[in-house]
Amino acid sequence: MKKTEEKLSRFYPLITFILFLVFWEYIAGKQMINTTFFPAPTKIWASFVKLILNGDMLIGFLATFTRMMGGLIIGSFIGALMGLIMGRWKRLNDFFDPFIAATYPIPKIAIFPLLMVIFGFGEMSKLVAVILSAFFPMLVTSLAGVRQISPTYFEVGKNYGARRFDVITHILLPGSLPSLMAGLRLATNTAFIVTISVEVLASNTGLGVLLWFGWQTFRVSELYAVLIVISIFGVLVNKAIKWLSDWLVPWSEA
Amino acid sequence: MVKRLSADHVLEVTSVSKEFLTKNSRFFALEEISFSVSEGEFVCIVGPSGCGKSTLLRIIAGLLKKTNGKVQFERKNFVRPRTSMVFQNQGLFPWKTVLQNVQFGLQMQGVDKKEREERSIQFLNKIGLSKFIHAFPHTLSGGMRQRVAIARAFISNPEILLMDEPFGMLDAQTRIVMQEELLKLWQERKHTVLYITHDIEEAIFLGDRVLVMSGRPGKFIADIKVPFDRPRSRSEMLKKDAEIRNNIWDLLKDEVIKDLGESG
Repeated sequence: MKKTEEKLSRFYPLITFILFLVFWEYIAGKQMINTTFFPAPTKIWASFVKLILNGDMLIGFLATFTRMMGGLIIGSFIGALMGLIMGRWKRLNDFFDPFIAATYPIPKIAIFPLLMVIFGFGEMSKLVAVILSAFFPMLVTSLAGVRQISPTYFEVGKNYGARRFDVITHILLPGSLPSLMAGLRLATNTAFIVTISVEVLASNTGLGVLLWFGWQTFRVSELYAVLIVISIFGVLVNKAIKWLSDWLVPWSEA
Repeated sequence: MVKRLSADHVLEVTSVSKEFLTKNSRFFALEEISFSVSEGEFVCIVGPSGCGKSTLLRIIAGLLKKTNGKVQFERKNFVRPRTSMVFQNQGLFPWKTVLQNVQFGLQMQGVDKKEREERSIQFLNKIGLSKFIHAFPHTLSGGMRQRVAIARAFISNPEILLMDEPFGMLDAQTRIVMQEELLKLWQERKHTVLYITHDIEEAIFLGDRVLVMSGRPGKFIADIKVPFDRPRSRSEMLKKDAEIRNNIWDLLKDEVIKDLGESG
């Protein structure tokens, strides 16, 4: 009895959501809200289908996806590498730490104008912005990840004759992997935010452009349709990372 | 140039001292420690907490530098590692399964995969862990984890097994079972063991010799031969060891009281 109840409870949020949509549709139909800003769900759905069918949504999505993934992969790779090295070799950390402390808190979107001055109005400035947004969270979490590895593990390694390369593959990498995965999740989310932001600011491709275009031409229902895709994509990416973590870190107690 | 060690000694430690420097002070953790261990001997070092026992073991394992003195091993076989250490806790890699942990030492020695897995599985079967070969350490109890750590140390077949209070974190009942298991394994293979503990009873039950250490700076104050035959049984020991236990306690009591006075 309890089992079926538990299964059913999973659908409760869905029921809330549907009721919300029905309510929205009703008050929009009665013109009780300003439908210029809050178009009826059916109207949003129509725009959504339109954008899918004419290919705009797919083109926009692919542009955003490649931009984000490119920046994420490059940025988080460099960040993780630097974090691991700096975590292990203190001297290097002493050299770089002040710079990181000073630059980490700057919202990356704030330096986007500067990046455009340096890298031009083309794709490069946008890619660098996304790279930076992924780089910092990855660097900081992997640095912390190396430091939280218990020194006993390094002693065990040394005692059993591990050479430098063995220490890296058997202790350093697996020991910091849980933190690396947490860093990747952070990096992905900030990279996604920055990707959409730079698209809104200065781009002619991507979901951010589609979103902004919807606003400028006052087709607000299209704006909503793009938001739906953005939020679904965000959820799926987070799910994928969760799945990847569970697969790569099977020893995690959580 | 290599000086041969006398008789059947496997390890000779000569006037080893260790000085620690902290921000605004320096102190000796160990002072003029000298002793030797013979082949196949089970030597226990017992002393109050903070007396430098672990520091001494780490120096012998090569994990810490000594300030003065000599640590010499007699090595007949250069394939065998000099030491393998069983740590008090956190000794197992949480990201490796039981099997991967046990074969770690062999892997570092360069034993090929098939052989090291076979030997590890065989050993795990013997100590009753065959069901947990592919389990991760966090799913095991504390006692099981230490059994895995001991298996890893035994199987790498070192000249000397170093044990740093391996059962210190276990509850009293589990500890008793583990002590008996350890003795059984030791009797089978006649490894040389250097075992650190603060538990006098444990030292007497396990050791051929008990070295008694004083606190800060750590010095040896007695070297006591345990007069009981092997194999030992716990019930017999309980009847006979009162005298020797009292002897050691008399030696240590003042140290412990002094330590409590200092810190309290």
